[in-house]
Amino acid sequence: MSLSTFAVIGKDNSPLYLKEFPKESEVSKTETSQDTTDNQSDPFGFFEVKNEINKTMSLKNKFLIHSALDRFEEIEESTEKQQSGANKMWIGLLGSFDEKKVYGYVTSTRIKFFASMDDVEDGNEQFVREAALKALFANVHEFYIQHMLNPFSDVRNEKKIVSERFDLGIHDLIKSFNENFGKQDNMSWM
Amino acid sequence: MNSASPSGSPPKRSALLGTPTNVSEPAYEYLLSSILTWVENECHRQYQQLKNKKNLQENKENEKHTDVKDQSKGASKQDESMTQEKAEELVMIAENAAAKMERMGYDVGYRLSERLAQNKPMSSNTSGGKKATPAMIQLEAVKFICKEFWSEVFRKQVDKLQTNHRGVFVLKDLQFQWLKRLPADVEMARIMAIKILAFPCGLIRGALSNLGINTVVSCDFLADGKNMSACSFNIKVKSTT
Repeated sequence: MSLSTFAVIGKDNSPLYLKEFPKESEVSKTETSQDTTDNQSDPFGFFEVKNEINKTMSLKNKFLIHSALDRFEEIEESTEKQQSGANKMWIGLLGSFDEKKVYGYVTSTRIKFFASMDDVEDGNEQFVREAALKALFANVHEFYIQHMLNPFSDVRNEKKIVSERFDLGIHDLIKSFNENFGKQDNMSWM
Repeated sequence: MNSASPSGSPPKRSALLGTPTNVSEPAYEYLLSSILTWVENECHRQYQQLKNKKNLQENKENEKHTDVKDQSKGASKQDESMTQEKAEELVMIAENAAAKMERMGYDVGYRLSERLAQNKPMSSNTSGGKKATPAMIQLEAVKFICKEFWSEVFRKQVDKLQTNHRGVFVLKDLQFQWLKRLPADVEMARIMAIKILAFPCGLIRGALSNLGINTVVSCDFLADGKNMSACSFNIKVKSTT
């Protein structure tokens, strides 16, 4: 049950930050293939291959975020979700699309965070996970604010976030989240 | 993966609050006025560059037509237009500088409101079961400016908030921090104050724009001869079309 996609969507629904967390099996496949090509062009590692921050997402996940965004607007229009206090920013489960569950969070400045994970029924575990997800979103919010407070970040037009600090922060947060909750996929058959 | 990653959760704000970040007010006012001077000089320089470029082009063109141009005629007229031009030039430079200060304020306000609204849920579309009208959202945002934002920046709240409920708000601050130390009854101080006020105008505009409200903010100076620090900010919400 690991988190697979994370997206930050701006005020005018422009994508600010998209990140995918492929499963380990997929990662190792792609990484090995990358390594070979890297070694050919740069055998001594002179030219540091920079990890591209915030590169684009696969089409499938983009569609996922699009449908999540539509659902988000629906929820917001209706009065069904009435949260108060600190929970107001937490939107919770937006729905299941293509075997993925998408959770949402919106700041008071209309920045939206979406996270998707595999849709698995596991009873009570869900509540624990949602609590952890809330904390995760709050931490991401903090990172976003720190990014915004940087005087060199652009405020006039919403651009993709290319801050390394932001990227690393999110990466670490989600990595630790997946370490806590990702194990359960493998355990579930036992 | 880079090893120099910020570990786990980001540093909390409460942790940062322990560090001394308070700057004395006079120091801050000095900073603000030096920014102002710098901006003005910068605008002046830019304008001069622009003018030089223009003159260069004109000179080139004039060289082509030297024989056609009659030099003796209208020399006094040229003098008159020169002084007028000079005055226009100064106005333009001042306006450019004010716009620049305002934009700096906008940036600061925009970023700051992101932080201050972190734990402040705004009624986005709905509140209390029924749909919130745009006017309600605006009022809430302006109240946020008056209370949280103002007390964060100036350590006091706005003294008076007036509104016509149709998108115009007037914030009156009778003891505006940044003008408190200006001498009364000095013409220079009055000019300076108006220049300084461009910055807080931008602050308000930036903060509101981050909350999704596009506005035009102007300021009025309520000096009565004794108290220099009374001023009012007029916020006009731009229709969202």
